[in-house]
Amino acid sequence: MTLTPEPQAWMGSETDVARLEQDLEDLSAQYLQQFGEASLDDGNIVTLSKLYAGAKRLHEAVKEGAVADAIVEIGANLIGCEQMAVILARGERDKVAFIGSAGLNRRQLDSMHMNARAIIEEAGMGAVYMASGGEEPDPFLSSLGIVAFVPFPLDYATKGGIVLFDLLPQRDGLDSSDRELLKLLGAYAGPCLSTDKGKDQETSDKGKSQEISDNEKDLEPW
Amino acid sequence: MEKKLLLVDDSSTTLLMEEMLFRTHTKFQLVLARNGEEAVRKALAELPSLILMDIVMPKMNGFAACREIRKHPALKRVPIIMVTSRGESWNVEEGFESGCNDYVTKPFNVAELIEIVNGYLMGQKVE
Repeated sequence: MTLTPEPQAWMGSETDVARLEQDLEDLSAQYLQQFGEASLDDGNIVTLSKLYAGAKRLHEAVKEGAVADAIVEIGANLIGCEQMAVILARGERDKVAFIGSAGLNRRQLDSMHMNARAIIEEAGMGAVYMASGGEEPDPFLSSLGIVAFVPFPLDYATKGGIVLFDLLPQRDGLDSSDRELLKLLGAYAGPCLSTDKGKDQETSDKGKSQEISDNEKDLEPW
Repeated sequence: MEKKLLLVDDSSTTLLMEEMLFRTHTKFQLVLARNGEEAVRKALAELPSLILMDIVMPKMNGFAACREIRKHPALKRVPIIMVTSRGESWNVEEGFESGCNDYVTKPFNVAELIEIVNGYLMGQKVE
């Protein structure tokens, strides 16, 4: 059963934005219908509930112009991760901006400052990375304590992503329902974020986006 | 008479999920609140059959809201279930001390949540 669509080419035109909103509306309606028709002991019920809430929340966030905060909220409430960052490459080649974050400790913060660009490059145009659920751990990402990375394919290149660190204590690891939700975010979160252009994207922790690069390691935590 | 649930959370994501679950798989009436103050106000006005309450919220947190709700005679026995990412033991203890009946950690499993709620509302579980 395929629940999440593959990412589509995204160039940020008005047509693309309209299509994005329509896709999210259609998807959330589809998941809601499937959820309503499924019995509570159906194996897909948890996945459908997460996909519905994720798609619907992203759709709301596009309208509100607060996509980064919504991604952090989805991570905390649907995945059980309160230590995460949303990063996006901008303008100059080496500049990567934190546009959303929650709960990062000093070590994770330093790690992001030093390795954000490398994390994006490691992902390439690849699929969602999860350190559990049968996937072979990536040595580089695992060494940084990253449990999952969701790349954002924009303009035919990986331009950023969602970095998930430690899960809440009640989570033993990520499972197939998390993978489907992360795939949904991989397909739609990047385009949704790019619709926030001109709205001065803000971080959850400090109220302003902050650029990072390999040459800037002494920034204050945000 | 249909049972009425008060769903309290500052996270739209959680409210969306809870609303979807109870609208599609039960006939309960739903009332929503986004912070503790609103929860207390709506609890008094609506007299719900059960309350699902987040803890970390603006204006008034879930513990304070729970204590406030328990002060009112009409709401003394309404089941209150904390739904939160804070699963540490001290948090659970404070939840019970504030007057909640049960505790569910996020991310919750929809099937398990509805089973717990039905347990209270269908009389399978008593205070």
